[in-house]
Amino acid sequence: MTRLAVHAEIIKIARILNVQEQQLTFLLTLAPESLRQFRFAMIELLQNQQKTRFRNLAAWVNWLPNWLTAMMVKRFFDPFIVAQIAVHLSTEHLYRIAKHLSADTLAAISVYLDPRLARELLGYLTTHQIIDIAQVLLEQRNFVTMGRFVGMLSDEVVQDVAQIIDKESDLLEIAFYIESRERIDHLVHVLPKDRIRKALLIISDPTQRLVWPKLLALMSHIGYELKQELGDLAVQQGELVINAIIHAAQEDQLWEDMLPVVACLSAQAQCYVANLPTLRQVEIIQSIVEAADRCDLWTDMLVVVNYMQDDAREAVATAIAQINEEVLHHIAYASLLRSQWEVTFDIVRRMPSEKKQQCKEILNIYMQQLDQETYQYLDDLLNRYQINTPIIS
Amino acid sequence: MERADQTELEQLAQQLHRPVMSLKDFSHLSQQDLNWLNQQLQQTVEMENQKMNKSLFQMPFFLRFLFKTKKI
Repeated sequence: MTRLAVHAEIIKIARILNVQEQQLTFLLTLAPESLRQFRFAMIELLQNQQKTRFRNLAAWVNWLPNWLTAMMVKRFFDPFIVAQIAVHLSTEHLYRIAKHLSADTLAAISVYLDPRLARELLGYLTTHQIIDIAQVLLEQRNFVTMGRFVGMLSDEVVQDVAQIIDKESDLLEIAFYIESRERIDHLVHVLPKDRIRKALLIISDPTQRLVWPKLLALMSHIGYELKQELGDLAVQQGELVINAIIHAAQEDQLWEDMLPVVACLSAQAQCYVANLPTLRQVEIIQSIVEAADRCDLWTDMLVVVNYMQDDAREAVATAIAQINEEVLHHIAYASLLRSQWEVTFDIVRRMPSEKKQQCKEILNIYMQQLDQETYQYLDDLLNRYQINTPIIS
Repeated sequence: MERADQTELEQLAQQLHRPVMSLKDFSHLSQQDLNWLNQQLQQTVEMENQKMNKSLFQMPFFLRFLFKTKKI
């Protein structure tokens, strides 16, 4: 859940700085949480620029009748100025003014509105008002703003808003920009199953290629159970769909997001995916192995490799052998964490003798620290896989 | 962390009114990138201010007094 989350953050930062996303590619190496904190710091900085001026105005607004303020908002104030003033007004007062404003005006203001303030205000608005605002934002294809607010809505309102969104691709766009990632899992549950299935099938439609990463992002953000459910659903669609997912992940280098998803699939689905001929393509398996190593995903990778048959395991062993010695340390540690020594040794035995030797040296370090029982277990495995680590008494 | 990077990073932290440690992940960026980010942020702040002033200036004269900041 990193590369895609980083991408979403970069898009949001690019909007604030008024630059192209491509100009921010140097931020791709940073963690999404760091980028998110940076973005909030920028928003706060911009909000504080003329704070005194807007606080004074808010003090005046408190004295004016709501209809007059609403009229001024409609006729004279820019939406971003209204959003600045709103910060200094009570939510109840805001609601009384909002009642007099059209959905178009409210939608325009919502683009600049502080999310913390919006959360409280949304509690006052009726479902009808929220739907109208959502409709305007949808027509403008302002998915970033919709994503900012959708996590704050109640389940019933989410369901109603989803009904006005005809295209599943638009649902995915909104989900991609959701601020509160921890809510995604719940929101997916709130939506009708059929719509989720349709959204999943977008992956088999090449005309929707630009939306594919958003679908993969959704898959990577949902919880274990839902990952398994949707992943299995994808597998049921057949090789064409799975191959499309694999190619999309490869083209956009999304393996760090996809590997944990594959590791969550049911045993049957994992077995199917892990042994697909597409996955054995040299450049694909190399990308997967590199992503597993770079993002510390060996525990997930070993789970997947466990389901691989000979051909696929050969491809993995070849790919691992092409990376430096450090990768072997990472694999050994992941094997220890997940007790996946069998699959690890089966990969090691397929490596060139030079790499095998390096593995033996790493294993020796581990074996010196093991209890007798585990030591014996590993020793038996080493013999079985003919790796023959020298026994240290 | 290089000394030069630290300066750019410190400048970024200063602009954002945040402790440098809160931007520690950004220390991996090159001096050039941090410098660009600093400039861009400064430019954005200036542009936002200009936008606000312009918008306020376009308001009818009888509303402008509402936006006057008190001089201390």
